[in-house]
Amino acid sequence: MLARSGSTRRAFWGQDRVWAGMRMSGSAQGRVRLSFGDTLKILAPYFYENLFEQLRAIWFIVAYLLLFQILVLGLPIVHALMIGVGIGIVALGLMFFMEGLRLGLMPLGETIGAVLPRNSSLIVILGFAFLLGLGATFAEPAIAVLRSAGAGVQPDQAPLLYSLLNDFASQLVAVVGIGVGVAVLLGILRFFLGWSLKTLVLPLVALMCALTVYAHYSDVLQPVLGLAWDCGAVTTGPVTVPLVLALGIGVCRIVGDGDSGNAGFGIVTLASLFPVLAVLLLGMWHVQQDDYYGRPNYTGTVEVAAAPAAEATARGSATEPTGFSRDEFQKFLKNGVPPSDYRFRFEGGESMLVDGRIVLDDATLVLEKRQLLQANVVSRATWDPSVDFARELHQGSIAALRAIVPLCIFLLITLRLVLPERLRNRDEIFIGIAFSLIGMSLFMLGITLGLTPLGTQLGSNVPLSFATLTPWGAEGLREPLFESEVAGKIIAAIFGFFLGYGATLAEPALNALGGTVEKITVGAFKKSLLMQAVALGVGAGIAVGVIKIAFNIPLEYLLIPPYLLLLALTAISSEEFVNFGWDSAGVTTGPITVPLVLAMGLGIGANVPGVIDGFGVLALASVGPIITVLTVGLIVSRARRSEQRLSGLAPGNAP
Amino acid sequence: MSTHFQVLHKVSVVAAILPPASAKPVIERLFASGERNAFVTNARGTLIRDQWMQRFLPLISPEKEILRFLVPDAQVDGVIRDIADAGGLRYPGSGAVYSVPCDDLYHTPDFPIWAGLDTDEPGTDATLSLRENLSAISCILQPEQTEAVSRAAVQAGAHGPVIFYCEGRGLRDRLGWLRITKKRTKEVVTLIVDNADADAIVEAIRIAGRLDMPGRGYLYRMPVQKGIVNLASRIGSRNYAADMQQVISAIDGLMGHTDWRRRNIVRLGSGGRAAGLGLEGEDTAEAAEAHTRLTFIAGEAHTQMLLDTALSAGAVGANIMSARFVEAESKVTMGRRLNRERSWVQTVMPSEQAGEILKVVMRKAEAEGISEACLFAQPVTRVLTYRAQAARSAAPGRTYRGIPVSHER
Repeated sequence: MLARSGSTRRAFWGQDRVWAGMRMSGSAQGRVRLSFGDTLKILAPYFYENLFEQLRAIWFIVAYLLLFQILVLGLPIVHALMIGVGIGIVALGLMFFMEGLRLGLMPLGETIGAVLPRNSSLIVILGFAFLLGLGATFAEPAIAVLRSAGAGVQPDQAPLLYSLLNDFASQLVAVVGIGVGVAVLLGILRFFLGWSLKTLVLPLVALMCALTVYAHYSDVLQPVLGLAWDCGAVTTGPVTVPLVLALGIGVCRIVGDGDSGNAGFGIVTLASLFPVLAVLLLGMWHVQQDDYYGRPNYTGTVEVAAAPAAEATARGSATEPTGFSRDEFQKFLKNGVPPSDYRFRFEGGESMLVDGRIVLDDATLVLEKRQLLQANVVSRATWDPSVDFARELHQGSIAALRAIVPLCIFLLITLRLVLPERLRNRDEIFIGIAFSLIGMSLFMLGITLGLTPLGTQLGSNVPLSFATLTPWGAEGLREPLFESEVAGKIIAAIFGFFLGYGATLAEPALNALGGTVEKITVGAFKKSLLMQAVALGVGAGIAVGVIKIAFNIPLEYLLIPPYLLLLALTAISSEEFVNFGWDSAGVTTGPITVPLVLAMGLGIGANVPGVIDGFGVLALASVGPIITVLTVGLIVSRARRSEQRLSGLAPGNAP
Repeated sequence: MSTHFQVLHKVSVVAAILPPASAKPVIERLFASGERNAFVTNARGTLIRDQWMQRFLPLISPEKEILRFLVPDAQVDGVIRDIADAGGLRYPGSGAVYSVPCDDLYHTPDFPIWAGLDTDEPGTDATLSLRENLSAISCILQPEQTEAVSRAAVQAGAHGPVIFYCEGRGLRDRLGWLRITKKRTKEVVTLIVDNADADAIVEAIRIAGRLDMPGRGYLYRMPVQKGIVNLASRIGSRNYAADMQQVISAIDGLMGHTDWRRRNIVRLGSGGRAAGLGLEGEDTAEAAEAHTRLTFIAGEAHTQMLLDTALSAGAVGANIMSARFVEAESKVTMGRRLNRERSWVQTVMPSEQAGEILKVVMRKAEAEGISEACLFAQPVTRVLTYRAQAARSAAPGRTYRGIPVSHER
């Protein structure tokens, strides 16, 4: 029987009533028995609230993409039903995945982290860290994504890049894996030795900048720069990041005096920096061995077939607009009235300034046909016929299983055998792992159905702002939106800014980082603040990346100055913000941002003469958030420091 | 009692709320004078913005650490003065320190309390006045409610609510796998208030947090023996030499009472809900009987077991607070201290039950041979929570509604 309280206020779903009822029924301490209806009454609000929270995270990017295509570009969305369904599935998948992280993966990581330092020797701990980093790279293969970015690379233009992407791809993955392994190892060692993150990051970044400058002057190595920096940006996916964060936090609870300013972070940072170094070194080794396409020691197989053009602009590149036909000319001769859509200009003749007027003598008047919207969207299909729901679901599940299960087994085995420790709340953790699996499969499926096609369409259509091309899924050509090419490219950059902003807010790994930071600081640093700062930074970075591709600027010119600025900011920032800020760079560029950004990068690149690949945008997207978070840190620290000085208690001045 | 536990009378728990930078010097200072243990919990303070413009600047609440020490009564004055000195508590907004006496403390021999030192003279600066009419109000809430409750408490006259995390136990554990729907971590809002203000603040918290609804939270109030409170709660304009809080407390001191202050109707949170809607008195149970808070300090591994014992012996619910245990001698690896985590299991119950449950838990601890554990009881003067009108087991035929007549008022 339920207690009837006098209050007329009821929770919407009657959840309070169920809780109250449970206090009454059953024995004092036994397991409460619930009817099926009551169980639903408890589960429903739980799922509803979480789903709503995820919808709130992704609404911006979805609305923005849809509205941009429909209102600004004036094109309909092709395969709308599929995209709509896909987005719904993404929200559902994100909901399960985030709950799975909260219930299963992160507690697992924290338990291990808290127990590891006391129960085993340093060698074992470091070995575990290295294997974790190595395994994580193989579990979440992000390098495959980069291959599509480099699909348009011709062996003659960039031989080393081509060889690395195609023939030595496994070496690439292995080297990146080793880089991540070393990074996790150093990250954990840092907690034991009490090193500040600055002492690791500053020399590392300086070394990377030096190598980049060196590579800039080598023709062969220069194209590899984009690949190297992007490899750093895409490692550590949505499963690795929370695990590694939880591990670090668990270790830091135990080790040290707790005065090292919110340590526990930093592993993700290193895992994003080391692969860059590793790929650059791999490239330099191949150069030194003379082992790439076109050189004597080349060990790969030559693929003569031209690499397929990026699918983004499969529908033809900019050609001359069609002109007037014979019939229209005859009509003109007869009527003297030009056909409906034309543009005229003067050619030739002498220009003279007469009485303040410019007079052209003997000029020829040329009528040119202007392309109005002739492009007809060909496909009215609401579902892409080449996409098979069951097959995509299958592939998504395989990817999820591959990402989560080996890591979990590794962790559980370590827990059981190496540090014999029982797991508390086993059922919660297993439910969490199951939720993560379900969530990740759905979320991968939803991305394939919804976000990737949307991104591809937009990626092909955005260059309309400065180039003439055929919109995706249409026939015929369309003229650019803006007369000035530069203005069009700036508009594309602004588009990229909001794309980056919206996509980052939806990233699960960033959500996990924000929640962890909030938890570590006991709510002092709210999750929303971190997420907004990071999203703005990523948006700015992507805008700069679009500029890089649109104007075909070499990556180094846009990458080295921000990193130098970062070195300065890092040196003057407080330790805790250095920790959060650098880690936020590692968590951005995840499964939502990368497909969208790559599609846009390829689309724009295909319309700019001279651009061979789509690399570099992701690397720039990783620099932005560090700058914004460190800046927020400086603002807050200054305010705090002045208030403390007012109250006589500046840090280090304890009387 | 038992051979496993030693009993100590006249012990107090001294708690200090300090910014993290001050924590280490304070601990070092106390270790030098004989303290042998310190429990450190991370927390955050509260800052409410007065100016609307500041709302758009990023706000990060001040981080605080709560240090707790078990101190024999004879040393309490000296310890409090040491903490005030080392932590700079004479400056406004710097922190707080207070001591709550324990009834009796039982500990295993290997649990360090105090090195057997004779009493020294008290520390420097006898101008700090130790207030003796304070209460500590602790309120255990869902994380979403904390904002509203802190704000209401500050408007009612409290200074600087300090918030830390704890795990709740009780109803949630009986749900089996369904407990995933209820978040485990709860936030505890701690306030040190004058006795004169305490009632108003409890009312304000009750309304703002809707503590009368089931599952909303739990509030209790404990007497504080001695304390210095200097916590900040507002960011005001920097143009004035003193902020509102300092001015108000100076006037309180001059007038000798707080009646001169303006009494507002405390406004509630969103949704246009008015104060006190629809609840009759009997639905909110304010226990008239004496209550006690029992605390068990044990390592992570044993916490669960002690907790289960307490729950099965009759405790209704318990909280587990995690603290870093800083010992004067701790294991060191590569120059870094390896600390241990200790859990403080706290449960509030009527005093008659308390002795009973304490005995049961001690027996269990002895049976399991738990080392390095400590148990003590502290008095609680008021408890506020939803108390559904369950049929008392003595009267099976009674309906649910109704004033519980089994209590003696």
